[in-house]
Amino acid sequence: MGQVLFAHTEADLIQAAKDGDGSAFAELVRPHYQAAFRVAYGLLHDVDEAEDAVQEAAFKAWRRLANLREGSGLRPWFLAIVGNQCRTVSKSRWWSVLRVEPPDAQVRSVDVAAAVDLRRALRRLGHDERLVLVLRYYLDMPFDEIATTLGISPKAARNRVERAVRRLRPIVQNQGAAV
Amino acid sequence: MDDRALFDRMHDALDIEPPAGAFERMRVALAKSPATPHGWAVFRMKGSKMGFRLAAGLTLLVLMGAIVAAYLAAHNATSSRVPAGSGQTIAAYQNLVNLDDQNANATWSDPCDTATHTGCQADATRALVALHQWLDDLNRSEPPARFLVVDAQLRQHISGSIAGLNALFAASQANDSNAMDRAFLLAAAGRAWTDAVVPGIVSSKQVTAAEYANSVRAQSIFLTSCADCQVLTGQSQIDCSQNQDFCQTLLDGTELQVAGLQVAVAAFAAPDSFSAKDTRLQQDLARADSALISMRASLLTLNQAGFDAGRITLRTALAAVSLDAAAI
Repeated sequence: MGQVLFAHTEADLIQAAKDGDGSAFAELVRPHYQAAFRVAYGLLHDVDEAEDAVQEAAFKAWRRLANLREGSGLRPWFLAIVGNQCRTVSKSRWWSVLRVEPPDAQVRSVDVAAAVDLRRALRRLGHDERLVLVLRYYLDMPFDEIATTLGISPKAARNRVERAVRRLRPIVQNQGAAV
Repeated sequence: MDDRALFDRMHDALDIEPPAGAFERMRVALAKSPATPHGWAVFRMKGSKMGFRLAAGLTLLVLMGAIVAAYLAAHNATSSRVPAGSGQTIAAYQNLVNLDDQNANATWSDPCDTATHTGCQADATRALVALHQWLDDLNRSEPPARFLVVDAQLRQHISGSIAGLNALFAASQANDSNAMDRAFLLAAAGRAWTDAVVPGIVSSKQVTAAEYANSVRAQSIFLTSCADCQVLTGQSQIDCSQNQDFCQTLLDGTELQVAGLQVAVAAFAAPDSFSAKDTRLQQDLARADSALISMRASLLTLNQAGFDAGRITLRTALAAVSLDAAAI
């Protein structure tokens, strides 16, 4: 510990992290922390669970740091691990499919209602579909970066986003009709 | 909803900053951990909520494993099969399904998602081994009464995924990208169903009459207002040979709603007072679900007659589901 104070380049930080310096690894992911948190929140819709998921993903990433190929971006690699961690968390709670909004949602404004409806609609999608929508429309990622994050081709990334939008749209429209 | 509108709505619904001190808490946790990045993260996570949950989960898993081992030892000593609905405990069945689902998930990496996918055969084979293992495990023991109906559907979906993966690999060998797309959707549909329904099985609990009724009513609202379901069960001709994407989208939307209700009845076990109605609802849902599986399979081979036959079965099954849910 403490070596991080003297390590400035990414290569130095990577080496220090590989040598067991947890603070160095934290510094490596610092620029990507907000994006990671947003991915986790977009998938889990719970602040505490999102924070825990990112922390757990950071431990896993640190453990697998040797797998990060030289020249590959840290961000897509780390976000992929965050996405996988969120899948694990989601699978442990069946109510992600069923959970209803709290009672005060009954007296919400139109904007809040739309936000609640969208979150509910996202929860009804599968993990993979939710992930590509969050990456594309919440993190504003280009298809190339989505492809790198998911380990697929840019064309496949575009197809997957389009497929997810096609699934999301009727759910949102149905909710609108039901309100 | 165009791209711009979706972008705005996502930001309106989700825009949030990490809680104050979140990064620092992570940094401290990382810094405090042993000076080697190898080993069990669960022990380094001491003090965090996730660490506690993981430790508790691991303990539970070990205990469940011991229960299953004891059960299997006793089971194998007498017979290779258990009478339907009686022998296997609910917890043992939940554990079996959960472990096989985790195994299937760990081996699934969107196999052959594109014609250029390298490692397609290896990925598909790994996923197939896990799915066959799951099916074998289910075939070796019969489910407790609570899960009889959903278990049969689980087997059908696993078989559907296996058929999809086999077709996927064959299409990739033939370099037929259209057939690959159709096969991938068949394989992925089975996976999407298990993703949705298995957590309901694993977390299933006995509930009160009011809780059961509320859960069924809440989910059936989505089904009755589902636009895709209405088109799919309507009388208009749908030519899938001309518009495969449209047919796949209709199936996507309908499967989502049917699975939602299947999750509800799997997760919230009906009390005795609703037993007969619950059985009827589950059976009609299973008919609808089976019709959807057969329609997916028909799209794989571009079998329009099979797709149309599935629509007729689906129409009667969903009409029955609506009546069943209204009676609860």
